[in-house]
Amino acid sequence: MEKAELAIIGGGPGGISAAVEAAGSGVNVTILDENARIGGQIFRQLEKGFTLTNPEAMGRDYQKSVDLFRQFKKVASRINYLNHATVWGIFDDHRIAYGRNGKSKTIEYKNLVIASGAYDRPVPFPGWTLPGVLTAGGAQNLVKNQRILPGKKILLAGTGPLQLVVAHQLIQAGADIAAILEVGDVKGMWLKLMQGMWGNWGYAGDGLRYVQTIHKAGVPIMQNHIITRANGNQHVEEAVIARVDKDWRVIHGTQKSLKVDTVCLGYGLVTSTELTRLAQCDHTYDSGLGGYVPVRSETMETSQKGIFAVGDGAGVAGSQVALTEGQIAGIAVVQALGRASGAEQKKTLAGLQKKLARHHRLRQVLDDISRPRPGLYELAEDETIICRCEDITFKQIKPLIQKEGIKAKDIKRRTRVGMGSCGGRMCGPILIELLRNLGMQVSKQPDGLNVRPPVKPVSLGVLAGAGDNQ
Amino acid sequence: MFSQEAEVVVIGGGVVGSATAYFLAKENKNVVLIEKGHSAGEASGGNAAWVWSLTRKAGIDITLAMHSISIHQQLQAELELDFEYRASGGLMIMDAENQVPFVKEHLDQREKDGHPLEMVDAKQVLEIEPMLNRDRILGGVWNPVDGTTNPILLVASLNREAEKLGVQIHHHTEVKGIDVSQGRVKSVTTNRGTIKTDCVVNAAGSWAGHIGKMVGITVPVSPFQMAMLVTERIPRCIFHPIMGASYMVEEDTGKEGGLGSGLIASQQVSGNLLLGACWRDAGFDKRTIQEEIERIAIVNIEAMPSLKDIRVIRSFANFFPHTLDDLPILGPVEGVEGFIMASGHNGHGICLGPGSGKLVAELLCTGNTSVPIEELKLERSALSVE
Repeated sequence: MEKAELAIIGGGPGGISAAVEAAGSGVNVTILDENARIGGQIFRQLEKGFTLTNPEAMGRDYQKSVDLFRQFKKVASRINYLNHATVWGIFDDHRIAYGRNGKSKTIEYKNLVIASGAYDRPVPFPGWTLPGVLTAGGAQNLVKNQRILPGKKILLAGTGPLQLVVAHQLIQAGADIAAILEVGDVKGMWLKLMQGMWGNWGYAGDGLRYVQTIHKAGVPIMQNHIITRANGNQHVEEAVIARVDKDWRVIHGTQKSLKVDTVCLGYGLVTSTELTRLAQCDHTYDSGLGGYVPVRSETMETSQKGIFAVGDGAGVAGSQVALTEGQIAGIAVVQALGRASGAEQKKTLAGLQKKLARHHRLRQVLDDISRPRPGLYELAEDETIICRCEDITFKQIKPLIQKEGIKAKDIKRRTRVGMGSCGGRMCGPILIELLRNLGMQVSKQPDGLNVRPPVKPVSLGVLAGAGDNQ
Repeated sequence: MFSQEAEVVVIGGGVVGSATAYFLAKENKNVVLIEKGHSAGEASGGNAAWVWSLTRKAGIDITLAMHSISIHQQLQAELELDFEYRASGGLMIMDAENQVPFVKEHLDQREKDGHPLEMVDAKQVLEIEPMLNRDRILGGVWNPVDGTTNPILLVASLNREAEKLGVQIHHHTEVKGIDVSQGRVKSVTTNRGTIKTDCVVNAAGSWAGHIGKMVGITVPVSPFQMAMLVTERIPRCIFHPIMGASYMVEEDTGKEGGLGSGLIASQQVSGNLLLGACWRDAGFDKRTIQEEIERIAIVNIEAMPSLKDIRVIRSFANFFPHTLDDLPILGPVEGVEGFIMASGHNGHGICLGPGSGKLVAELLCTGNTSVPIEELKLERSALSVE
């Protein structure tokens, strides 16, 4: 069995910065990353064979990532970076099971940093499963990874500044955007943003540049608007949009249609908590975020000793926070292993925590803007799919969610919602928000849809080929 | 509103309790069903989903199974909601010489008992299940009455019909105490209120011991874990429930603290494969461990190598109510009038549950049962630890 003083799951900014910090102090680190190269979703590197002629098009994050990759290279000799590694289980006795190159392997860790990232919030509405409807993250992936445009005429619908980032990237790549729908209130948003920006000047500069690009391209930003339906035969041909009130509820009579072939949805991100849940860490429902997050100490340690959680997987707050949290967790691991003289590290730690507090001020503002309001989960109609894996429609779960005292788990038992191959990643957050909309108390722990290994689909052959575990 | 009074309070919303409530209601009994979580939330909801009698032993074991299979058929005809019961026939395969004498002995005993089974050769086995590894098969046993069902739907269907007949079902309701005075059950107290009754059915499965304590008796039922894997949906490739004959040899592996494993494979109507199994004593822990997951994959790949690229989407484990003689505890209890046992089905609850429910209902309505259950009483010597 392989052993690691520090195992890190995820090669995004949080995971890499923890690795750089710990390896820099002499800790042997193993990184398990699902991707081909470090960087994660935000610092995604181009596939081999694609060259970058205009780094500007990739946004400021790209340039930041260059710095991080440079630091990574310096300490790379102490880092065992395993790409294409799919972690499928975290078990007692400090063991992680992962699949790689057609084999299942086990690694025993002393300390573990989980930097699992986040994914786009799924929002069900009529037509959301039609080809041509994709998530903002998916669109970003195409543009950043392969320089492919997702469609000819694109509608962006969602909330928050992330939409502006995606729009900026799409426009730079030559896309034709019909409109950007902001379901929230843009005027209020900017005012609040200015408050949050205090001390976060890098973000302010980015934001201004994004807005400039959008204006120059003549793309309208429609505030207090939502997409209510995507129509089309086999593929999106039309989007129906409407005005909404402050609770994001559709104002009737304001519907109109737009001819588009692609819809990119950006309703913010949901934390990937499968691994922290599997590791039996305590969680709490974060109403600002609209999702569950692991409970953490000041040094990013979860309720399980020696298991840390950083970055978007622990509370969606972007790459700057992920970098800082990763660094803090890295230092905490160095200290836990007794590799550092206390004084200097303490000073660094204090500085980083101050930095984090500044970021969090901005995060609270962003959360306030993007926190899902009730109207977002009232768009589904009887035939709207709620669980894509098991083809469960809203009609099937409607009579159940209205029952007094019902729990997400009960609905799963009755309808198979959440029992498909995504393991409830898609329908789990939807179910919780539907229940919340009906005034149900959300339980402290996300016990509604249990996580069971393998957390990602793994072939029987890989599981059976576990050769090195004895 | 919470129930104030009932002729019978059934504790446990698994398949046994749900069937009991349904059959009592059919006889016009006023019934309340209490479930601490949700119906089919424990062993009844996570299991192999088999209606299986092939490996049941001669005597009361197979008698109960055959009776219950007839009740499954009856329910299929009379319940409104389909629960995907398919009597496809079941197959046991032999892939090691040491299994043969155990299997032959089992067939002899069953024949003598009037419940014969059919031995099939390797060629026939492969005709029945073409995907099995032809290099390993020595032969098998075929049982046409066995099959699969959907336990969650079965329980949901029983509950729905019971509610129509007036049964009050209280989910997320926990029994806190049972009042017994002068040797008679008087009432059941829950976290939501007290129900006056003079009859309680203990269908609490692995928790039957907890309920027993409330009336001052010891119920020797303990949780025993079985783990399985679920794959992605694939086109039909397994046509019957398949069990490996290693079960006949290593039946007790795992009960001595180790990890037992053996082949269990079937395909649900949805297309997902349900593959097993490992079993071990894990107390009330429902988590699966790495060794279980890998062992199950190995056992199944050996039996069906062409499954190697099929993806597993999750594992699950449940604990079954285990008794020392592998038989359920059914019937009245000495010294506590009105307290009826219906627990300890040892992982055969899906097959035996509907029959057990029917028998308990008969007992309470007529004082007699169509299958004699005297030897399943709590006081039998096989259950005493000494």
